[in-house]
Amino acid sequence: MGQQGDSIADQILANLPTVVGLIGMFIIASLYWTDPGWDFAVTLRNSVTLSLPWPVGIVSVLLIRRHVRNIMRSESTLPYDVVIVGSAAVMVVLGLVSGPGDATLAALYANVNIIGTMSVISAIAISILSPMIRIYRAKTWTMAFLIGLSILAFMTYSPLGQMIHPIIPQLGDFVQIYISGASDSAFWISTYIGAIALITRMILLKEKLKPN
Amino acid sequence: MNEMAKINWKDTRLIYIMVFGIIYISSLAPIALPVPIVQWSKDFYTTINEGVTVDFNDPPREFGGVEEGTRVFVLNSGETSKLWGDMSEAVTTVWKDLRARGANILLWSSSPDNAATLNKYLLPLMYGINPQNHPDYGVKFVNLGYVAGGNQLLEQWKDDLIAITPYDAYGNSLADMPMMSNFNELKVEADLMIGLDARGLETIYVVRYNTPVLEMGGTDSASYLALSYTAGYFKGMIMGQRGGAEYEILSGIAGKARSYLQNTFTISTIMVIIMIVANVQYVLKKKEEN
Amino acid sequence: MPYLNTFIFFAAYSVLYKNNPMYRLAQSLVVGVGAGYLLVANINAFNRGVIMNTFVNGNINWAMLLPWILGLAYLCIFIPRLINVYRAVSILTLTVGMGVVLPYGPALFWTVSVGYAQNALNFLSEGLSVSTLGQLLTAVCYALALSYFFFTDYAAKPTTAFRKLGRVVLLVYTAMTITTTALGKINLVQWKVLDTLQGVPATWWIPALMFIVMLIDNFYPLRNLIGKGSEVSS
Repeated sequence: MGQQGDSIADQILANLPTVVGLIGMFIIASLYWTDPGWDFAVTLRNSVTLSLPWPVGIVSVLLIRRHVRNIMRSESTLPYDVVIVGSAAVMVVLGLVSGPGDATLAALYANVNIIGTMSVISAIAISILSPMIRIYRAKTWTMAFLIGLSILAFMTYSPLGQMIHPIIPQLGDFVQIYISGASDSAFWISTYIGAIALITRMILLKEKLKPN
Repeated sequence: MNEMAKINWKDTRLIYIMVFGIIYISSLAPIALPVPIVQWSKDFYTTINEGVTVDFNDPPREFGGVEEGTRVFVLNSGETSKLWGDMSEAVTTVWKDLRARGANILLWSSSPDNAATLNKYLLPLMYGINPQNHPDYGVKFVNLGYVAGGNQLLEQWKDDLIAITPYDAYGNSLADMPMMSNFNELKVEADLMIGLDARGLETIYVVRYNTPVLEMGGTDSASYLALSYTAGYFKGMIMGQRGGAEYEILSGIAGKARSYLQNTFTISTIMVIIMIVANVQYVLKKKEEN
Repeated sequence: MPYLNTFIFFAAYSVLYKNNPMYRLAQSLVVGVGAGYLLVANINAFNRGVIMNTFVNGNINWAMLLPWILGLAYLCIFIPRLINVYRAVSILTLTVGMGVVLPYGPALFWTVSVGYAQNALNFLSEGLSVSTLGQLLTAVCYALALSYFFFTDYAAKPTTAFRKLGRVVLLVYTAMTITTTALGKINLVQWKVLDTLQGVPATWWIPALMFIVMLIDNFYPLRNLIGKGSEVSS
């Protein structure tokens, strides 16, 4: 933020990255309404997209580097750091020597990373069912409402409801489509409105564009 | 006796064991259960089978259903790798149906894990271990593989795909593939888009170019995707293994999705019973205390 | 590989019993293999997108120059003196990303709001039905839920009633989402269990063995074995 009494020029100079960023942002945004769009903006957008593998790849390098440092400091997690760095090195060597289409590379990734991530994600189910069994009690009206809706959802998304009466899944679907759907829309649109509010604050130079 | 005393029946690990027990028993002896077919799944099938009209802009676009040569762009751009166990049967059955109808399928994956998931679980099933060597490759199916860029990329591909992505997943030139000769300017040359949990297609394609879009997601994608389904941007959607079972019934293509329903049924029944009994007990106890 | 696949899946699950070496090993492998593959996949993506197009028929393709410059500038993150170059290119990438997404906000807000508003009045032309009533309800719920997020500070008090109803709408969403999430994620477990039973080779014995080990550990902690062993050796 500029000091009180600073001229607009001073403020702009002090926030140059933000100002340049905002101008660039609106130039790129203009492509949404123009067809085929301004050549300079199209080139810039395409070039940034083509360069995206770099920042994503660098994230991996930074992660591996952290564990290499742990090994060098002989942290208490040494055996696991060795496994992380060793397995990453095997993958990189395989990829560079045999190419990205190498069968072993693909098989290792699918049989370790993908299945491991899926396992962690699936554990969310247990983390939900467990409190449902232990602490879902109608202590308040809100809680009673939550339990009622959960029961409705269980009956709707399994054959149970249909087996009791077809009206149950119909009711559940009605709630899901017309109420949950509307609520979800409101949630996402509020997020977008929040982003626009943030950009508005940037235009007013109350927020800065500054990566760490 | 002392050892038995160590068992704490409030131990959450017993819940885990119960859940695993149910899953194993359901998997060992699956039985067929009635499946209610929801409207969004019916709409999904109707769009593929009969077509749909999209009229957000003038002139409206008439899509006549998937037939020989229909250009279908499949966007593997959501959480496919994390949800595959919940989406597997639906994606497999729909893909089989698209192939049976003679569609030209272009596949894009937004992340390496999404690409690897389909490479392991779907493509070998459809085209063998080396899809690029299958006779259909380049003629009826092209795999772009992982291409970075997300929605930025979709913005660019709407005008010219090959200009920004000249090579497929296996390093072959797209310009040399017969299927890609009329599958480049996606805003007009993609007859149908099927998103695997894909987000953002409404604003990029549907409202601007009347592109028919269908969605496939996990069981828990319904709320999010309902936003665009109820507003008419998605012309149908199928969710999770239940969606797979619904599509199997609608299309008549045999699959495994219905066996998942017994597990869901057993878990749901037990959860409903537990929640009802525990709350009745709680209310009675509270009354006694008062 | 099927054995590795099953081991990783259920070893990751074993953390539900307690933090243990099997889980830590699986976790480390997942992180290491993932990081290595991500690096290789992105090198390949840059190769297919840029490197293979830098020289076309022996001529340099100038359109590829900027992606090269941007990519190399990212490497300045590893050179403390040139960290500002990295910052500049990060800002550019952020700017372009936000510029692409920026129009979606107003576009989505407009299209969804107009769509809901138009559909809300369908009951006038089409008569009362489950569908038309639902569309009316959607529009009302949408407005209520938006009011919960939208009206804050000085606008909060006059809109209390709307925001309270908005909370109810969001509660419905939460309840339905929690349950569908549980059911969806349970399908992932069953998918893997079916794989252990029906896959070739069958690998169901791996989780069974892990379960037995955990059961034994519950009554007779296996750590004792290591402890006693070290006592003997010392």
